Amino acid sequence: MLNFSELKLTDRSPIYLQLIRYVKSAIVSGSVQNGEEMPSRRLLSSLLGVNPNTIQKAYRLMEEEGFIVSHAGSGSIVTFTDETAAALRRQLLLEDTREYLASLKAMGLTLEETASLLKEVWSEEKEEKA
Amino acid sequence: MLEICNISKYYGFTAAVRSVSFSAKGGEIIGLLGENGAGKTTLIKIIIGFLPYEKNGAVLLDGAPIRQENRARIAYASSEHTFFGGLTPKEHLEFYKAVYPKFDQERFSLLMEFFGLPMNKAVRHFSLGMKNQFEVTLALSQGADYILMDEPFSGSDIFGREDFYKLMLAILRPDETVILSTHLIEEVRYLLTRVLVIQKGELIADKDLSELEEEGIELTEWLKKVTGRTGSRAAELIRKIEEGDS
Repeated sequence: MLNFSELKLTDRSPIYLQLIRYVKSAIVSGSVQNGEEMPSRRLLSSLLGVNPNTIQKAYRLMEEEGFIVSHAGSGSIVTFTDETAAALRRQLLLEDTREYLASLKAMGLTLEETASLLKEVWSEEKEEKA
Repeated sequence: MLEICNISKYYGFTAAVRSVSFSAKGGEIIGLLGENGAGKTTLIKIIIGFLPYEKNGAVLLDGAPIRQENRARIAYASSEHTFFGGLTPKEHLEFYKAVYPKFDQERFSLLMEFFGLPMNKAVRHFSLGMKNQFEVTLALSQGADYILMDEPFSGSDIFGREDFYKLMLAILRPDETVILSTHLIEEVRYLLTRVLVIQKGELIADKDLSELEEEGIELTEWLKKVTGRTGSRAAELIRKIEEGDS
């Protein structure tokens, strides 16, 4: 069963989006297998201390996006293929990049400055590892 | 549906509660928020029938006034405690089963076990935390459709409160409604589906939290706005202090 114990809720975005993001990240990182069970809505509500309406909304949207499937009486499972996992990966990368760029733009950085900043930090990290 | 229609309560010329109206439907987890002294306790005591209210108001349960026949559909827990101190939990169980036909003994046992409360010790000898736990155990087991809780954990620690909220989410049926009065907003903000804000006896805001979420507004920020606590008062105070210094 997909384990939600690593999820730390914040006030930065709606809770249901954080839940969806968590499941997507688990798919992309390989920490959840295709066909693995989701916790029941009630269990997840209780584990996280989040009201059932919010949990229900997250499950419904994940069903609509097609990466969980629910059957009456037998709960929900995570479902994806290599292609959908790759598409999710790209989606998450784009989201993160957009968010990151928005904060740099807010500080007045140009594309060139952003690129050189990325290179600079990237090589710092390499040096640390070496 | 539980309907609160134009409820007021005066002590002399002072309004403890003034023209409050709202309704609660099945499955809602409603936070009744406000500072100490705002009127939360008075309002809850009116709803459960512990306090009379001014004539032109009404409290209705599925359209009917609250009387002996339907009173059991509303449960109440408070840190003032409503249990019988001299009785043991086992004796409470017998009494509640006799008084409340829908008493949920399974839930009672589950909660008693979860809290680790003894069945055969008079409740007055419990610690404050245990008393609070027993109080909410009774309220949640009564078989009520509407469970009203007024700061039920005063004196309990934060871990005890968090555990309780999680347990509550695990056991509530989808049609049970909770109205929880508290000033500890940070602890309950994810738990709630809706908030009512009461200030100086008046209901100043009633908001579905999924709407707030869609609008991208954080609950505590929104509360500061509706209660007029935007921080400008602190800025004003600092300005005065600085003027005094110079």
